[in-house]
Amino acid sequence: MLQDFRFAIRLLRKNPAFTLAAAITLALGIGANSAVFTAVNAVIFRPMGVDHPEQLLSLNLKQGNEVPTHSYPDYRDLRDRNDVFAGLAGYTFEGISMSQGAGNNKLLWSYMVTGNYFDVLGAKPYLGRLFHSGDDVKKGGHPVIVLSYICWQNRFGADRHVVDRHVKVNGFDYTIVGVAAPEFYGTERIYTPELFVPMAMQEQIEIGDSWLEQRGSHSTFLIGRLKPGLTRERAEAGLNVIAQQLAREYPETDAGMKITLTPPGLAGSYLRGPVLGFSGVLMLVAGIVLLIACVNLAGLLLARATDRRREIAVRLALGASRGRLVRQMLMESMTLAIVGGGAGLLLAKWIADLLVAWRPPINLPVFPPLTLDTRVLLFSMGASLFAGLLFGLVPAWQATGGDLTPALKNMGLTMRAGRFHARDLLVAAQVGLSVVLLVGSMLMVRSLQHALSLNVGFDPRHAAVAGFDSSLHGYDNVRGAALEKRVLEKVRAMPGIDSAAIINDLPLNLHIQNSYVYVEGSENVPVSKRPTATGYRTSPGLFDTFKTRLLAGRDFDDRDNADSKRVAIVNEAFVTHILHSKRVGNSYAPDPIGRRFRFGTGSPFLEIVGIVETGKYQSLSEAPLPATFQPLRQAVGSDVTIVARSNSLPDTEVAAMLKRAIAEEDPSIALFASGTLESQLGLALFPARIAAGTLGAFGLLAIVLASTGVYGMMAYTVARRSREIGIRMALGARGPQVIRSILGRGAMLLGGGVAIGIALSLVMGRLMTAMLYGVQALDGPAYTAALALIGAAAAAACWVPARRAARVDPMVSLRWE
Amino acid sequence: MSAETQTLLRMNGVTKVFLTDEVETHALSGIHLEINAGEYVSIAGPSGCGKSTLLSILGLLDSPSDGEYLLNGNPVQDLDLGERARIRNREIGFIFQAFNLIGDLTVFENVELPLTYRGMPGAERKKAVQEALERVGMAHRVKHYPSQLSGGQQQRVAVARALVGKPLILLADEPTGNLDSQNGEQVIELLQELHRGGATICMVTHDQRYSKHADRTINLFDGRIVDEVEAAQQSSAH
Repeated sequence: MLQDFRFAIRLLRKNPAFTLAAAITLALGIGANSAVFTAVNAVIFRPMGVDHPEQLLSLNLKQGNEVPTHSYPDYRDLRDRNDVFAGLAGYTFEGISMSQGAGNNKLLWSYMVTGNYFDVLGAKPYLGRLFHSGDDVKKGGHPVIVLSYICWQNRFGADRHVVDRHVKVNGFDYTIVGVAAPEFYGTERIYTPELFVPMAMQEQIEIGDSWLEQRGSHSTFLIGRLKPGLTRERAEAGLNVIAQQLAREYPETDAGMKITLTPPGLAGSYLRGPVLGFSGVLMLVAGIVLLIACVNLAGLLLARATDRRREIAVRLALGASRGRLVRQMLMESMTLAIVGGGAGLLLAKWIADLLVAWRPPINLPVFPPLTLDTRVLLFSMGASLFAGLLFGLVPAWQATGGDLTPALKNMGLTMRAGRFHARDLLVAAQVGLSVVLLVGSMLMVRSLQHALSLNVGFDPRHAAVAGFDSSLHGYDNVRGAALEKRVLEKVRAMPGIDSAAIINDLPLNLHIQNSYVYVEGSENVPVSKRPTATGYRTSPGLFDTFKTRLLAGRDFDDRDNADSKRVAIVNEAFVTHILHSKRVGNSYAPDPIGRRFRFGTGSPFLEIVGIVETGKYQSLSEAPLPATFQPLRQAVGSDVTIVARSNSLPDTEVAAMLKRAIAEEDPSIALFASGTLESQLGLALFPARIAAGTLGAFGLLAIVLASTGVYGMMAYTVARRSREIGIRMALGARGPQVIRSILGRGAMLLGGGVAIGIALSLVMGRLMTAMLYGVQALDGPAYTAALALIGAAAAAACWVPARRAARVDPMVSLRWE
Repeated sequence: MSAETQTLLRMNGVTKVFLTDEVETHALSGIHLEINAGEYVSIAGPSGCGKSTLLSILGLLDSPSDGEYLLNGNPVQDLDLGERARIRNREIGFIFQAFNLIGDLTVFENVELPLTYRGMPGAERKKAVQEALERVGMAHRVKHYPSQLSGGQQQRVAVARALVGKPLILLADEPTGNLDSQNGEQVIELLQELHRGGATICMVTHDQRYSKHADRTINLFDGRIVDEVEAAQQSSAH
């Protein structure tokens, strides 16, 4: 073994060009896989820094749609009545403002958690203590926070005396009681909060919004620890008995309630499917890149084995068994794999560092820490050894078979033009796999193109936004409204601003507020069949600023204030799906204007005064969703986003003007969602962009690997055929004829590869359907572009050896042989 | 040849037919051959007469299409690849025209190779390699690579590699073919010396200067043995 290893090292050192080419090829393949696995590991496999994570389960609520959130009163009942969990905790996310000194407000993301949260999870403090049940008893009575380790490092300079220090949270005094352990960052894998607050402080964290006692308000994520010996099915059954009780006790809100259990970490069942699906596609794609790299290397090793056939024959003649020689050759490929794997790991580390440094265009801390932990190291090692076996086995097996006598006599191999070898099959396979990746990349790029040109119900060009929440800075509703009004007037008066308005939250920006709709006259529909609508609060002039078409009725105006009749504007999907009106010419029948609805039996009716076109609210791929808009002054809320449009000023300047206008009114206000309106679409476009980016990168990698593979094989073929080419030229063949013969062979290999690739792409396209926006899996332009790219790359890779073949000197090649 | 002499190799009616596409080539036809222990046999004949094919079958590098081949009394014509490799390793030593030393291994490692495949412990291997290299006068070049040696020296190393495992027979295929006359003579002298020390040698050559050193010369033509000449007869003929 040791002897084989020494010999392998000697061979690699003796052929530095081959070793370098092979190591780079492998590093790219293994690096890509390790980088993808690092991300997948962080999102799916990495332990959450809690005791026995396998005992933890998320609770999903099914009442029509399945959602991962529950009402706080339901949480209390489920916690107190169940006999399947050793503990049941609740949490939710919220943006808060924190300052360590006067006027130094920073917008942070937090977890509001129930008092038993850390105890149920078995999480440990790094400094001080975590919360216990006693920290979450009296509403507004527990102004304490726990910092995440990252927050402690970044914002408190890793001060070991941070415990018992006071900070302002949303303008209120809070005391830091501890710092969580470094490996613990909450119970959602793609959300990394900076601090934890007891749920009892909800009214200070979400000022002006009190949902702790509202059974119809589903804001709390639930996580439970199974009692020992219980199965998930048994627990689900136990919980559904309670759900039935609650449905009987609270039919208004809980009728039809059903609970399902899923592993925690990905917003219950909500993100689980998409995240697992996308991770699977990424791993598959990275796997294909590694496969292409392996095929590339197998081709190189096969060519090398042909050159080493005499050495191998000598060893066999001296009594080495075939198995012994296969072992020796595998040791060589494994050594190469380890070298390539090491380089790949360095590449993965570099990519992970780049990802960590990159800030995605999302106003949420969604990136978990990307570390190359033991799991990643084991994966990389496994991938390297698997690759070594994959690219080493076939060449080793083929090299140790065959006739010994000619090899021992060093009789030259005369490769025959018409015959195909295992190497040729490998080239075709490589081209085929590259076609699959390129088609995938092109589909994603086309999908992104489509998403960028999609009508989202407003025009994101030539507009900028700035968002803030006055309640986080100690403003009450009246003072907050006055501030909003002053800022809006100031912005409207600025030179170059064409229009400006306010909306509470931008569409397509994660802030989803769905409410049950009770249309006047049909209030007895059961909860499970009751329609829901997305709700927004807006100032007059929003639709003009947004360039959203008003289809009927009127926009809000100054008449729509807190003392006037409650009104609403709805979108066309609301009219057709909920009111069942049909469009007739420029109007609707029956006419929805004047009809009334409300969001709960206790809330006032809203009269519809206008209808606007339907836009996109939650995701670009959603079906038309009903949406409602209420006047800012008639609906409670403190978070606002100022939108300003200018056709004469650059968007970035408009964004700077908005910031300035807010700072002039109150310099302590921390902004969120600040920038151009187009940039705020980043979140909605994020999945498409990241998919197009990663698949594009993999496609590029595939082209590079396939081109080098094709080039290597064609160059080798020309070298082996130089005697035959010399004979042909001695007999009068001209350069173009030789070039045609070489290119013809390349074209046959390319054609075979493309056929395999198209067949595999059809399967891949079907797997990707859920990730595509407005593009069919069988998209003609995507296939055409992919085939043109691979064709051009392969043609270039064949052309150089073909030209070389045409320059063969018959005298030299015949003498050489 | 005395009746008491032990027969090491025996071939009865061995034929070899090569099938290439639709062409059938009879390389050997009805070969009957015996080589005794301690004998020095030369196989001669013109180019393409089947000398190397016969040597390949004798060395278990190839198998006959028909006929029987006994090595040390055991039939070996139908053995599987693994068993043939084992016998090649233990019973047969090869000397090739092109030396066939492995360029990436030192002189020591090249000679050591058959013993490594035999699984011999390191210390024993070292001793055996040293002895073999001393026998051929190459013990001072153990750390050299083949490319650092002359053709004659490379062939001496190849001889050391052939005899290091103490095989029953040494098979030499045109051992002087790639050497000038001076180096060729030296290699033949080395083989004679080994023969005098008791080694059984079977050498393929088409050079009569060297075949005359053998106890017996077997002449092949068109894949058949056309005559066998004993050393005494050769001397008288000269």
